[in-house]
Amino acid sequence: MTEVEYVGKSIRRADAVKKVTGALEYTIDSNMAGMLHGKLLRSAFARARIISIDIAGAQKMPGVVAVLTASELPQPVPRFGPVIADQPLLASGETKYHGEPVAIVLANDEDTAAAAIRQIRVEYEELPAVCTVADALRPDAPLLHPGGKRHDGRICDSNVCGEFEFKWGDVDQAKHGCARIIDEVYSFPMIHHHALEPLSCIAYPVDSGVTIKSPIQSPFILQRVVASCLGLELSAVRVIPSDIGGGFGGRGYPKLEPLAAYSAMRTGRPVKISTSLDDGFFTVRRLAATVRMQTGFDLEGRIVFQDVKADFLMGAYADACTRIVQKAGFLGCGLYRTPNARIVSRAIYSNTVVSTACRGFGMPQLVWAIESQMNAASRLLKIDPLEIRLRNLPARGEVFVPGDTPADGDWREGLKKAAAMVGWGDPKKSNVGRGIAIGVKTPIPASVSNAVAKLRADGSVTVAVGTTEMGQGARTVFAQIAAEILRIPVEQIKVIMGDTTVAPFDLATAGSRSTVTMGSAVMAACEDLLIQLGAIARELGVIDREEAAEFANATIRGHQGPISYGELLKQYLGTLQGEIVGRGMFQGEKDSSHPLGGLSDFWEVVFTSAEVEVDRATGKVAVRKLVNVSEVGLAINPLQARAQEEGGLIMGLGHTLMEELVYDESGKLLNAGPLDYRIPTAMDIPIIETHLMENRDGPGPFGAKGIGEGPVIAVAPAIADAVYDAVGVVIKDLPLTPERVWSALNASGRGGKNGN
Amino acid sequence: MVTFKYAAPTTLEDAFSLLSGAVCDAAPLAGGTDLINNIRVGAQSPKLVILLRKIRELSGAIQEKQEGVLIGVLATLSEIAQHACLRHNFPAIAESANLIGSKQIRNRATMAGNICNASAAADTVPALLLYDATVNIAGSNGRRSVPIASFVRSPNRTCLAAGEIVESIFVPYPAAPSSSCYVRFARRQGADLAIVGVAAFASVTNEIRLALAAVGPTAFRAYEAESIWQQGVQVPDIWERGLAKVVDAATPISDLRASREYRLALIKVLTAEAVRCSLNRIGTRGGQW
Amino acid sequence: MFTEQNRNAGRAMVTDSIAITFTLNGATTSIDVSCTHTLAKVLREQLGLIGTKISCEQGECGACTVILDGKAVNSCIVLAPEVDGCEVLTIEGLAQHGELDPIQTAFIEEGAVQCGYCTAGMIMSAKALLMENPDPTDLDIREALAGNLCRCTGYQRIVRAVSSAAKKLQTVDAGSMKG
Repeated sequence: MTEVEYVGKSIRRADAVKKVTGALEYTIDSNMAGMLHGKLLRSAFARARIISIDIAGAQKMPGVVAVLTASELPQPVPRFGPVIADQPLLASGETKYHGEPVAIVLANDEDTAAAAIRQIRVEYEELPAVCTVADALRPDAPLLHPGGKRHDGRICDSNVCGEFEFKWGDVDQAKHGCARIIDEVYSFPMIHHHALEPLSCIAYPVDSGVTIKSPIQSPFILQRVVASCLGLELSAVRVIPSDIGGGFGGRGYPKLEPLAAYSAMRTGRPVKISTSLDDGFFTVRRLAATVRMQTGFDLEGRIVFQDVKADFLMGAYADACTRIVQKAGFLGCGLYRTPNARIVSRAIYSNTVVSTACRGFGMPQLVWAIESQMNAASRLLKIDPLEIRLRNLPARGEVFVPGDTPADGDWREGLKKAAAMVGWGDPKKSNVGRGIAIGVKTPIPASVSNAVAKLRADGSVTVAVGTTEMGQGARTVFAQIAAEILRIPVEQIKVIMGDTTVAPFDLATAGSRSTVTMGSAVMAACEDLLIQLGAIARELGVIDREEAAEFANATIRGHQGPISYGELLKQYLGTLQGEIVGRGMFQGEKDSSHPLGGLSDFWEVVFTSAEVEVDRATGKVAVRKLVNVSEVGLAINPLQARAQEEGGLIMGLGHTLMEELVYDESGKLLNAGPLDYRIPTAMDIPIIETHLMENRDGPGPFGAKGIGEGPVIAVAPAIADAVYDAVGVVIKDLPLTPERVWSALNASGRGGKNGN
Repeated sequence: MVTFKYAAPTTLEDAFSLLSGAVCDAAPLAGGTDLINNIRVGAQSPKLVILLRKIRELSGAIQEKQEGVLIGVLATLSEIAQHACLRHNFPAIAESANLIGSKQIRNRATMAGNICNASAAADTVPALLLYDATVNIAGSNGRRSVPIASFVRSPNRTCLAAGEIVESIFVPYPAAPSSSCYVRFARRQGADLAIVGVAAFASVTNEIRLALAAVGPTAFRAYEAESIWQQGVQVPDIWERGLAKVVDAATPISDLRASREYRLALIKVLTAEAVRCSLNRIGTRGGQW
Repeated sequence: MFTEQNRNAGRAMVTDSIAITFTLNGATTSIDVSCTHTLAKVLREQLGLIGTKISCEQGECGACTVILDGKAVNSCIVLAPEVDGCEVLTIEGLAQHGELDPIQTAFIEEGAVQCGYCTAGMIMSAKALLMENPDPTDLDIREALAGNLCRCTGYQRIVRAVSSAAKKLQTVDAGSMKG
């Protein structure tokens, strides 16, 4: 096999220089001639009847072109959503969450729009709201969507939007005579993605359609949703994604774009809606969860059964929540051997901000429970937490979720590696502890990615993909793959991302899938180019009919020496005329008998370990070291892969130690904004060590798997068990704020002095 | 942004005429880290913002005088935190300044602004209380000086009358060799607000002083504890009795950041830490931290 | 010097907009600004320098960090008129003659850039730190960056990049001093 030149190398990011010089233009930096600025008025209450909205004061301000509320929109008010189209462009009749957009002002400049918003007077009648699973499920709870459709097509008669059940074996039977059963309830808080780039988008009318510029992760989803909402053909909606200033799933699905698109078409002018960081808190969050797990173990610590009830608290509109809850529920037993399982996962509406995809797609919530159960069993049976996991891990090739892909890694090795890296078993001082946990996730099954590669008459290459760049480095990875296949220097590969008119269909930039799916499509498109080049070379007599084409250094080896691609095309096409186009597609295997539509392309698996020191007097948890081992198959760009690991760990550190959206009983969000929703800073981080396991055993190019979400998934249980190891308290709710740990220490009589 | 007008006077006389003149509702602008944000969210709506930086009589100088240190109204928290004399002689003041916000904030925010904003959690106030600092006020009616304890009246209210500004803060040298320390507890290591802040002072004459922030409507001195500890702070029984007085004097609330019970517990922990630290420091005469 | 001119200037200036002159990335710049606009807004919208990013607009996240009279500040809470007579350095002013500043290069080489939104602000905070303290400890760096939020990188590579740039700059300085 020829020496690999680009793949597996830490090539400089293609967009690095633009980012470090401030030259990269994000959507919020963009402007267009004749553009209207849109500013939103957000509801002051969670649930309230809108009695009246007085827009007269705003309308007559000079420079204000239009003021829209639900009353000014077509009736019934257009709604959007990737699964259920339930979210209105503007709150209609009743607001359903604190901060829901109630009106939009469109003005010639931003200052005027902002000033006009203050002139709008809304009369609300506040109504009782439900903000917890318990409240939402009360028999007398107000319904978020009475008469609305559930995920399964039934009509909503409660606040359950979707309910999924997975089972195998016989759980009830297995409960009899089971040596030990651990029955606990765990909770995972509401978390905000907190991307740094504020949400914004620009829409402008084009012919009878609309073009949208947005930091959207999945342009084809945006295209479909807007087209559906506004009654347009897909071809009439063009999405041009910008580089995204932080996605994490929060930019995966449409939010402000449908309103911007509608406004642009209505006014006939470009419309830019821009917001600031605070607005994000009123736009998206992660699903919260309450998970009850009954896990049966034998005396050796092997799982006998899992009985899981996962209630996910979603926001006021469906967004992608049913999909998240379904997928996470499907993996509700994690990656352990589980002979008998029953998992019921539910998505439950509440009067809180819309929840959407967030890094890990429901797995951090479930893994928090699964791994905490393993830790509980470890304590109960007095088996080392590392050992008990080793006993339950499937070996490579072993099926652990019936009907799905078998274990595709050396997971025991990965776990042992993470343990070794954190110094498992080494002596430690008092109040110091270590923990370890495993995270798992499935990417998007049965998904499709297409790519087009163009080799132009002068030998230059562009690759067009529907994937978007949000810092994960996809742009660079695809350039590396293309360069490797085409034997062209990586700097000469230009990757065009996401423009729905230019790029062929891609399902989504999500689910840690793109390296495998789009990477494979890019590879196939480039291989298609090589096949065409070979055919051209044979036709021109440069190589013999039966001869295999050999490519190196952007040349094809001919009888009289190497000929550059450009030269070959010049001979074939005539001087600078035409181009050749390669097409590639990846289609994940469909399986209609599989609850998720298809088997997992691969398993994204991480092993996370932590060492902490706890201050007994204050409950403060200082994480001294955080380790992550990722099963990546092959890292196309090791530097980028490691960077993703580190970032994911610290994002996980956030929800483990300090992050939590707080709502009061009336449904008011109390800590919207960076002042009181604290994410980790450079002063809060431990030593981070990462390791990539590369067994070249992935289905992607050169044996790659995916990465991106794993590292956020298992941080919480690793740290929580380290806290137990340090000071002997078990905490089942996140985040482990100093106060929560302190309370647990006091409750168990372990508080007070640090004992040195 | 709400509209407001702007002026950049070069003399105090001009500033006062602007402050108390026809244009009412004027706000002085020093570092702006509170004011500009307050305007943005509508918490303050001045009709006129008056820049202080160009007023020739005002300065950010930190001057070492015979009796103490005079800190100009425009002295930034960064300058205060890095000032050698303050670090050596008034460590709690320098330390508290260094804990506020981030570098970017400290490079702009002033201590004067911190005390004028008068948040219950204002970090510099306890340290200033320890040293019985004086706030020098200037207004169109002339100048006056007010002890820091009387300056801050309640959350976000000071004794400043309309048309008055802080000109400087004077911190007198303590009578005997001494040192001090400021510790606080926050939700994260990076830029944050204090959940509890404690400033302690110790002198070679066995005097202990203590002031707390974020556990009452304003920062306060724990005078009763101080007089108990006068008898020997290192004696366990005396320590405990004094500590109980500190807790009694505190009236922490439960809010988004912490519960009342937790704050009470932290008071004990931080008080011990602050006192211990300042006692250690008089061994090293302040020194660098 | 107290002159008649100064006296008049003090009294006259209650205004909505004001002409300011300041040094921007080394060049003297004179513009009229609205007094209610922040430095960030003026840089981005009036002067077309979009490298200074806005995010929280309340001085909490550091994305808008610029260097004002040698100190890192959040330009979103500096009023534009305040920079009259001052020196402002933005991210666009770092690279000289097409050559990246060592901090910028270090960010790239250490893999400290992902989505890039916090990057300019981070680099400016780092630049301000190294201007003041050419040999910072790890803790010095973290403290200097504590006001710059990042959600992508986990900070470790950023800290390493600043450290690496500091060393490189010191070598350069030492080299040039020898010459």
